[in-house]
Amino acid sequence: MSLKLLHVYKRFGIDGTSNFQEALKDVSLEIEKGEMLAIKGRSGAGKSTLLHIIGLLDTVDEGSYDFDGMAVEGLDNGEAARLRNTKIGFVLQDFGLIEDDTVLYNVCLPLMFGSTPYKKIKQIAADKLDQVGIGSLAGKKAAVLSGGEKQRVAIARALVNGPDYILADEPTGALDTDNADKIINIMQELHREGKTIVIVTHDDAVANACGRVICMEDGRIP
Amino acid sequence: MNRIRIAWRLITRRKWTVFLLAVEIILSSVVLLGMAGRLIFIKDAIQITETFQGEDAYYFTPRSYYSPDFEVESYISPRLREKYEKSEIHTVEYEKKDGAFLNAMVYDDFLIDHVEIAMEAGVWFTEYEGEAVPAVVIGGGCGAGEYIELKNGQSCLVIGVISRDTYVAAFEQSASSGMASLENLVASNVGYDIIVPCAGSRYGSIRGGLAEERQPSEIFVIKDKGAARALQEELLQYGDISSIDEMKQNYAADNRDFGITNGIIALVFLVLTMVGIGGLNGIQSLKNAKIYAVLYILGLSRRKCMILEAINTFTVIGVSFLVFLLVDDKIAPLITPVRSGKIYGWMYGGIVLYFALIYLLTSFSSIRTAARCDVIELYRKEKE
Ligand SMILES: Nc1ncnc2c1ncn2[C@@H]1O[C@H](COP(=O)(O)OP(=O)(O)OP(=O)(O)O)[C@@H](O)[C@H]1O
Ligand SMILES: [Mg+2]
Repeated sequence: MSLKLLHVYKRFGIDGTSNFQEALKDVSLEIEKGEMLAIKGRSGAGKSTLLHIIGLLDTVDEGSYDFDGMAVEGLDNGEAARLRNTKIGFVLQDFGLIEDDTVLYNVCLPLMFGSTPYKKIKQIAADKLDQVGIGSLAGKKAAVLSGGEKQRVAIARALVNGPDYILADEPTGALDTDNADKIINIMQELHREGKTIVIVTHDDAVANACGRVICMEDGRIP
Repeated sequence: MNRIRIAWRLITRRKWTVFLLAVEIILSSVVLLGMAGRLIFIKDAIQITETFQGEDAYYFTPRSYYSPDFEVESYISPRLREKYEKSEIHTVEYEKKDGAFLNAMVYDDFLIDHVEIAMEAGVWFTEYEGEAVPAVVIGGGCGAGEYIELKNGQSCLVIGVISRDTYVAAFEQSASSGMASLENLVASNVGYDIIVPCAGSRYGSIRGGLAEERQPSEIFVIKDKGAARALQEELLQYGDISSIDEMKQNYAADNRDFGITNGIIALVFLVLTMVGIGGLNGIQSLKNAKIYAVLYILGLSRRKCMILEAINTFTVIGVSFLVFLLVDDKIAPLITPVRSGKIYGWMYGGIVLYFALIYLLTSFSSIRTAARCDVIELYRKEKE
């Protein structure tokens, strides 16, 4: 079980022109199961683009991507969505929470696309909140939490479906050092539990906590 | 079940926008229905101008100081008497078998042959070939194919039905020349229940009417063109007379103007509702777009996001429209000026479709924006 990108290209059209920009150029990367990988690089290097492709949010323009032995090119939108839902947990820099809903509802969401009874879903979600140490916040509105708390809600939500892969895009970017440390600790704990973790980061402390670090430059992995 | 929960949250999250939308839908439905009704009304009204096609006919009303029994033909010069035919409408009251009274307008063959009336069901006399005495019912009460039994043992067969607000020839008003329009000759919402052929008609007739009266006006159809001028001049001494052709032209022009004015008002209103409802819905679904971006990341496909938005949309339309149907009776009397027209069942359906269209276009275009570009980029822009 692994993620394998081979000679991947991704291009974006530039607004108002017929030109395009290559955000990824001939990227090949293999991520082994159970690995904890950091992706570093300057702003605009293509880190997020790469993470979106890894996370099946976006598709490649050229090259191939093999997800746990499945050719992603052959998946339709529904199958890709199902894989996102069940195999992948996303953690974003700005948390990606639905602000005017409760913490518990936010964590329940990924499970609500399936047919698990809502009662059961709430139980699982509450357990995950306990796991990241914020069980007591379950009934609060997401909007009133601090950044560190929000990010832990996001992690709980990423975990709720029991995914194999946790993909994080600058998870500590909006946090102070204390909170960043907490997030790093949680990520390491998840890594020990056997999750495969990919973190895009500028933060050396985060990168140092990872088993492997790759550095992107101008859309390439040198 | 869980998905319905998500859809429900989407709706309740924006309860104020949804509330405003619902109010707007309800009010728009009321007004749009009125507008549609009015336009249809005009269309029906214009149909009656097909009446008296190609006839050299004059509409005559004796001056009001003559008695109702005044017979102008007894005053007309003998040399003109053979040059015209006359058509008039009588009103008769019949007693039905069950004791109720039936107010009838009695048309002669000329009227039956020349009047064009928009039928709601069944046929006009000219298309009837049966043996029984035919009748056309105004405003329902009984349907085509039924018999109306009279107390005196006679009966007539209902061959057609016209709606209460349809224009029929009534000969009630006088027509002063120059200004006259068909409007003087026809009337809608007349106080009669039925139209029947007159005695001696080739369609057969019912006898034994109780109170019989003649409508104030009548039509003179000139058979000999050369006599037209002389006859007009003589008739003018006893009352108002105008050419039916002129009346038709005036009427058509009035209706055209009325139609154009109403068409423009309806159009303006359509645009207003489109902007109002579309805009409000656009705003709320733009707000939802960020949520859809989150749902997409969490593993809901774009198609399912759209289905969710469709459920969201149709719940709002559906519930608002149900509320509208419930309060329609109560609102309608308050706004009679815009509700004077003909309202058919299909108009309600049309309005629902119209709203659904506005909704779907504004909702889906924003989800499509969410789905087409990089969702996370969009998500970030929303955030800023
Ligand atoms: N949806 C898009 N449309 C157009 N251009 C895009 C899009 N997404 C990314 N790009 C471009 O692709 C390049 C790589 O962007 P990406 O977001 O992957 O960079 P990044 O390494 O994550 O940068 P940062 O550290 O600032 O987040 C950038 O030049 C960016 O402008
Ligand atoms: Mg980035």
